[in-house]
Amino acid sequence: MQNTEGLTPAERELQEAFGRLKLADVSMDYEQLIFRAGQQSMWRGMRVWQGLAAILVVGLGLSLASQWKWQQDASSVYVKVEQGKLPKMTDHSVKIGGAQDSSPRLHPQSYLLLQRRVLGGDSDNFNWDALNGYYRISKREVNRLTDWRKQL
Amino acid sequence: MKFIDSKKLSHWFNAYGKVLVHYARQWLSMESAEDVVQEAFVQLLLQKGEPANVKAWLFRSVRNAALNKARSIRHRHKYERRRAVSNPAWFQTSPEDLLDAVTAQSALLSLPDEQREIILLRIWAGMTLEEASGVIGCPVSTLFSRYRAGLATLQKAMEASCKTQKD
Repeated sequence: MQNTEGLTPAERELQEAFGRLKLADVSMDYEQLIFRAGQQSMWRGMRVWQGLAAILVVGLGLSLASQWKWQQDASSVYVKVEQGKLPKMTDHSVKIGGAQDSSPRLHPQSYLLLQRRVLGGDSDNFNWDALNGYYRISKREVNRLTDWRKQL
Repeated sequence: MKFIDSKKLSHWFNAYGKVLVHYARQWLSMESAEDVVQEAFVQLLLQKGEPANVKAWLFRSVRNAALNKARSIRHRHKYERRRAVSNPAWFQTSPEDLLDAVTAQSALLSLPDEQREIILLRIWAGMTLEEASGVIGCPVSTLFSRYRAGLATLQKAMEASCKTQKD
């Protein structure tokens, strides 16, 4: 026994007597331990794959959302409308949508119709979306204007 | 990633497994103690490298896990905890023993926790006071005082038991 310095002979004797007592056996065995280690190792591996799958799903979701936003921008027309003034065509849709050629623009006649509607105080009938000081006219509204133009 | 060699693990398991279970039994039932010790060995196996002092690492891990588990079941009745700690027997009975195993167990269990802990680490785990200090996190001088106090209490308990038997 180490570190017995400083103990009295009686204490040393008692220490040795207790040391001769053998601890009772336990039911835990080595095979059980290895099985448990294998199980935990497998769970760890599974958790890594689950984490990767979750990251992929989030990435896919973000990608789809950004694509949807881009498509929405690309299929809209931006018009600057100031109170008491005629609405102006802007190139904002080109800046936001980023697709110069495919970005829809109002037909000149539709645009004239829009001006007339705004001057006549009928602009509330349109679905205007405020966006950075501009108004976005959705593709559907553009189609409506086109239909009116055809009727005229 | 380099895992620990299974031969080494088997050696450590045979050398320290039993004493680790009894070490954890100070705070837990036999079942929970075995569970905590198994978990410590599993964590050792899944380590990236071998700890510098495996024995100290195992005892420290078991101690922390056992104390955490004991804290989580503290709401149970103290009597139940004491009964769980004392059953089944701590020692094998042998006619060559200088002390009666049952008396020795009851004397050991009558010790305050901090004295019993150092007695277990010194006598059955064969740790030096310096090693035990690394496990418990107390200065060597404090542990030596506790050890001597524990031995004195054991001595008294054994003497009292002898007197009772004579009477």
